Amino acid sequence: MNRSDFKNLVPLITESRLARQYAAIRERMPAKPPRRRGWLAWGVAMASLAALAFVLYRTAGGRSAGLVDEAVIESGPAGDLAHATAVTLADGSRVELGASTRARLTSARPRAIRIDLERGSVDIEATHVEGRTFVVGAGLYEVRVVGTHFAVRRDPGDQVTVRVDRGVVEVAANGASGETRRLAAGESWSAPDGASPRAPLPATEPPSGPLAAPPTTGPNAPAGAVPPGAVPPSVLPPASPASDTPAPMGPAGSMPMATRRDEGARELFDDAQRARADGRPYDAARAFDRLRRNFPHDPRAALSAFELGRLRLDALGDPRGAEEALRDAVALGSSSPFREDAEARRVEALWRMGDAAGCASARAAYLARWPNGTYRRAVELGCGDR
Amino acid sequence: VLAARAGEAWAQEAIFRRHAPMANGLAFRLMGRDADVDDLVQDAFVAAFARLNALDDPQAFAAWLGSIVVRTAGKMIRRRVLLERLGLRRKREPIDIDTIAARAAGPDVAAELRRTYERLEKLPAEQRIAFLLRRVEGMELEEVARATGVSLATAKRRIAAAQQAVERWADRERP
Repeated sequence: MNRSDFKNLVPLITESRLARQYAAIRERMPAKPPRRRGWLAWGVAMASLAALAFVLYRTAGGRSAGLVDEAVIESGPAGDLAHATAVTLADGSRVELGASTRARLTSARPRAIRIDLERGSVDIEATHVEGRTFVVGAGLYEVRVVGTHFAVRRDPGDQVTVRVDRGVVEVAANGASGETRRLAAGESWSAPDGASPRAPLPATEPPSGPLAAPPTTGPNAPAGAVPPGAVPPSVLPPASPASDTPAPMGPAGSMPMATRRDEGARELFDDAQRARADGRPYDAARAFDRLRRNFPHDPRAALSAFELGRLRLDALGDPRGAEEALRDAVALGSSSPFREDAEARRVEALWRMGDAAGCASARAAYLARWPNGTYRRAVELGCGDR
Repeated sequence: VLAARAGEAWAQEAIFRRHAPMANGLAFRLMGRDADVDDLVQDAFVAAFARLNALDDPQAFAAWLGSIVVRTAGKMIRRRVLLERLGLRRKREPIDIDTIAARAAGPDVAAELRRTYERLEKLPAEQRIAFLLRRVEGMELEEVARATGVSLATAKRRIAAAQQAVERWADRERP
C-alpha cells in the first residue's frame, strides 16, 4: 500500500452536499445579511443612520464632533427599502447611499468631513462652507469637494468612478505622487480600484471600456454646465458582441453605466444562487446563462459560465450544453482560478457527449497544462480509459 | 479573495466551491470518517472567512485553508477523545473507510487502509495528524510544522513517534 492509495480517499462530494455545507457556513457567518432578510438590513441601516443623525445634530449644537468619527453608514441590496437611504449632515450636505453600500464617516468635525467608501456608491449634495474640507475616500483615491453635487462609486478590486453634476471636485491619488485632477460639472472619471497610487491618474471620460459612461445630459447636468475645456460627452460603448440582449440603459444623467451593469450582474448571480439553493436548476442555469452573455466583462462571468456547465452536466443531463458553457468559462476567465476546474469538467462533458476524439484532446490539454493538477487522476481516467 | 474580504457573498461562495473538494478530501483523510467531514469543513471555512484579513498573500489561500483544516481537525479529535473519556461519546466508532475506498481501490487495499486508520486512531491527535500530513499528504517537514503550528523539531518528534508506533503494530501482526 502506498501514498496514492491514501490520496484516493476522498468523500463523495455531490452538489447537494456542497450546497448543504455552504448553507451551514453562511448561517454562521457574521457577514452582511442575505437578501431575504432585507428587513434586517433595512433595520440596521436605519438604526445606523438614526444614530448618525443624532450625533451630527449634537455636533451642530457645538458639542464635540469626535463622537461621530468612524460611524458606519450602510444600505441593503437593491430592492430593499434601504436602497434609497440618505442622511443629511450637520452642515446641510446630503449623502444618499446606493444599493449595498458601506461607508465610514471617518471625520465629521465642523472643519473636516471625510467619508471613506468601502463599497457601493454615494451620491452627495455638498454645501459650500468656507474653510471646511469635504473629502470622499475611495480606495487609493480621494475626491475633494468644493461645494457641489457629485457621486462616487467603488467596487472593491474593480473600479472607482466619480461623476460630477454641479460644481467642481478634485480627485487625488493617495501616495507619493499626489497627482490631482479637477472634474467640473458634467464630467466623470474612473480608474481601477487598487491601482498603484504612483501611476498617473487616468484621463477623464476614457473613450472606451465598460465604465466609460459620462452622463452629461439630463436633469442633473443642465445645458451649459460644462465649462470651457471640459471633455465633451462621449458615447456609451456598444453592447458586447457576445451579448444577445443589450445591457440595460440608465436614464441620462444617472450614475454611469457601470453601476447599472454591476447591479444587473449581481442580481442575476444572486437569482441563480437562490434558484440553485431552492432546487430549481433550470432557473439557476437560465440566470447564469444570461449573466455570462449579457455581462461578459463582469468578474462573475467566468464563474457563472463554469457554474452553468456544472449544472448542465450534473443536474440537467445536458453534456453538450455543458461543454459549450465550460469552454466559455475558459475563454471568459483564461487566468481565473476556475480554469483548471472548467477544463477538467470539460473532459467529462466531451466523454458523455460521445466525442472520444474531443475528450482525448481536452484531456491532453489539461494534463499538459496541469501535470500535477488537482483533477489529474480523474482526468487520466476520463475518456473511458479505465 | 479581495472581494470576499470586502464581504461579497458571491466571492465567498466562489472560494468555497473552488477549495471545498480539497478541504473535504483533507478532512476525510485526517478524520477517517465521512460523518466528521461536514462539521470539520464548515468549521474550517467559517474560521477562514472570519480571519480573511489576516491572510497576507491571497494567492496562498489554499495552503492557508489547509492549515486551518489541520488545526481544526486536531481540536476536533481532542474534543472527541475528551468526550469519550467523560463517557459522553461512544468509544471507537467504526471506521467507515471501506465504502469510500472501494470506489478507488480494490478490497485488499481498502481493508489495509481501514486497519491503518484503526491503528492511527490509537495515537494522540497531534502525532496522528503530523504522521498523516507527512506520509499521506506528502508534505515536507517544514510544511508539517507550519500547518500544525509547531516547531520543526516538534513536528519531527511527532512524526517519528507515530512512525515507531505504526512499525510496532506491523511487527506484532507479522506472522
